[in-house]
Amino acid sequence: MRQEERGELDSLRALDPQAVSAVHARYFPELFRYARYRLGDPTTAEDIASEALVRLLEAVAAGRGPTSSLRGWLLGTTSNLIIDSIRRRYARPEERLSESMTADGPTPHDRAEGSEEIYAVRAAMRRLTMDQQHVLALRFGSGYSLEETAAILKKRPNAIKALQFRALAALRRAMEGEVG
Amino acid sequence: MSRIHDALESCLADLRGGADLEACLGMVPDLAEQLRPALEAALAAMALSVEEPPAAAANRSRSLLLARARSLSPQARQRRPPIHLPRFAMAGLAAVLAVFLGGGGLLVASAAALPGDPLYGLKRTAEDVRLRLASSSARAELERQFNDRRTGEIQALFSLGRVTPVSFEGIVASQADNLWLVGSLPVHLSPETQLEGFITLGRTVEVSGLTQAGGEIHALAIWLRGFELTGIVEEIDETDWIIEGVDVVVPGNTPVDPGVVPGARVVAQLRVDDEGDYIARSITLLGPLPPTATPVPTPDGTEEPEDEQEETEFEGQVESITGSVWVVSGVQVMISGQTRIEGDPAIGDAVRVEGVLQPGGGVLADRIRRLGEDETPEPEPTEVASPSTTESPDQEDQEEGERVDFEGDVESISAGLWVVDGQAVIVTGQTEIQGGPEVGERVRVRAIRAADGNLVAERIEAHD
Repeated sequence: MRQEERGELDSLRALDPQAVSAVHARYFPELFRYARYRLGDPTTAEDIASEALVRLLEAVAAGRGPTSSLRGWLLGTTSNLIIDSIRRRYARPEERLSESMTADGPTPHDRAEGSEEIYAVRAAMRRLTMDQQHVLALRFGSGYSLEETAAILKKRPNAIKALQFRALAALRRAMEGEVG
Repeated sequence: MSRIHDALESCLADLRGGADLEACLGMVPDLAEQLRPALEAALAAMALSVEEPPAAAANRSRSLLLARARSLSPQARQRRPPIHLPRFAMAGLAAVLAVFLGGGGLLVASAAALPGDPLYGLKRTAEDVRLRLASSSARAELERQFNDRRTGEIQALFSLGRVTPVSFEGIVASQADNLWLVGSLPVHLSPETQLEGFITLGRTVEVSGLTQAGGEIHALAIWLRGFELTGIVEEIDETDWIIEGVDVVVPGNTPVDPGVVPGARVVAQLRVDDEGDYIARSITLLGPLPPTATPVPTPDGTEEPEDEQEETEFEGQVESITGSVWVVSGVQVMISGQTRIEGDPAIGDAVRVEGVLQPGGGVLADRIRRLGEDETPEPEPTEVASPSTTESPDQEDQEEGERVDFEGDVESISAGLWVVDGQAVIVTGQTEIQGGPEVGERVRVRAIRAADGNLVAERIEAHD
């Protein structure tokens, strides 16, 4: 873990309001952008980004929390919360997740963005595996470099390259399905 | 496969730099067919623009996180009693409230007490309780009355020639060198006097000092008066809020209750800064949220643990009914969806109110029952399991106003009420607490016994 992140965790452990505010200011925008990219809905993105930070605080206060990468822990938690959110939203045991997820049509936020194409891309994105969505959101939504993404996912850069290639190929196929 | 992965990465960098897709593919013609679908998808993925979070969203989120940090702090956990406070403790507080509301003998006995007298702390406690229970409209008048009382007490101390610590508030009427006039009282400033805020003529200040035999107050500290603002949050824009039409600055480190959103009813503790802006010291959610607001769930989906709630019950006359806010004998009573209202009470009817005291004042009603004609609409003390039921050598002679000293273990700490060795001890703003005692620790208590046997603490000191 980087020295800076270790310092942030130490100050967070003390539950000092200024330290808590500083950690929030540093990470909330990143988490919000990541969740917003994955979900489209800014309200849910706000809730999930907030919840990830609250979970960090609770974990640190309980003597647990990140051991290798604070940012990776937060983004991983955010990703898990997104998955939980989607599962709760589309909890229909008789249907496959991916089918139900794309059955609802554009959200109001998709429509507000003014483009059916954007809706189609988002819908196609939801057909990917969670790992694939995760890596695309990190690379294209959050703008992390290959090395940063590798550090967040605790994988080697070459593994990220391969995952990214598969994710983009799958996205292209899914987009054809959406259009078709 | 690693070559195509590397080529993809290289092309992505070029695309981000503004290069054309065909130009990228032209760099690796043998891989173009395989790369094209991935790069087209990459361009689509890049087109999903993501903006920065709105400032209001960041503000809400930060408030939530800070509130969670507060609730996780050891101090917050220790403030929660390990078990529900025993009924007698609740009843004890209710009894004190009822005595004060009804003008019991103890209040009369302490009314003439001056600062430094044994019963003076009790007198101020009575005032605190009355202020806490008063409706917002009645509270301002009470505050004025009590401040007039402070002035009268200080003038009495002048005439007696006593040197006694006092505190009061007033408007700065003159500032001649080191002698100010605050309200109608002369206040002497020395180089040691601490001044907080930019104090000018006409500003309301609080003064802490010592009365002098010469008929003036030697000021130890003078600061701009803080005050409470109760009302609806009309707007939240980062640190700039509007509460009940008043612009309030809410710095990022201000404790804000979770669930405070536009439309919520809150109590804001404010101070005035040097430029005359209102700065929030805390924002507390008051009473039920309006119908349009949504309670904020805790992240794990469980209910937020309730703050300690002090139950109370009293009887009085319905003075007004305005929506969900009633005034019963000067006490502001808030009605929620859970409030049981029995007997269809109307203005002028005698009712019995059962509920919980609210942090910002007033009572959130659980039940309001119209009293029958044969029931007396007067406050009555709730039956109290007096501390005399526990053994304490100091309790054998229970005389009103008697000073009681004892030692014991702190069993619980809640707002205004501690339990030490099974005895309920009322803690007021005047109680001196030394050594930061915590639940489970041994303390020495010095208290005054009220007429009904309750102990009002003057000092609680951690035992070495």
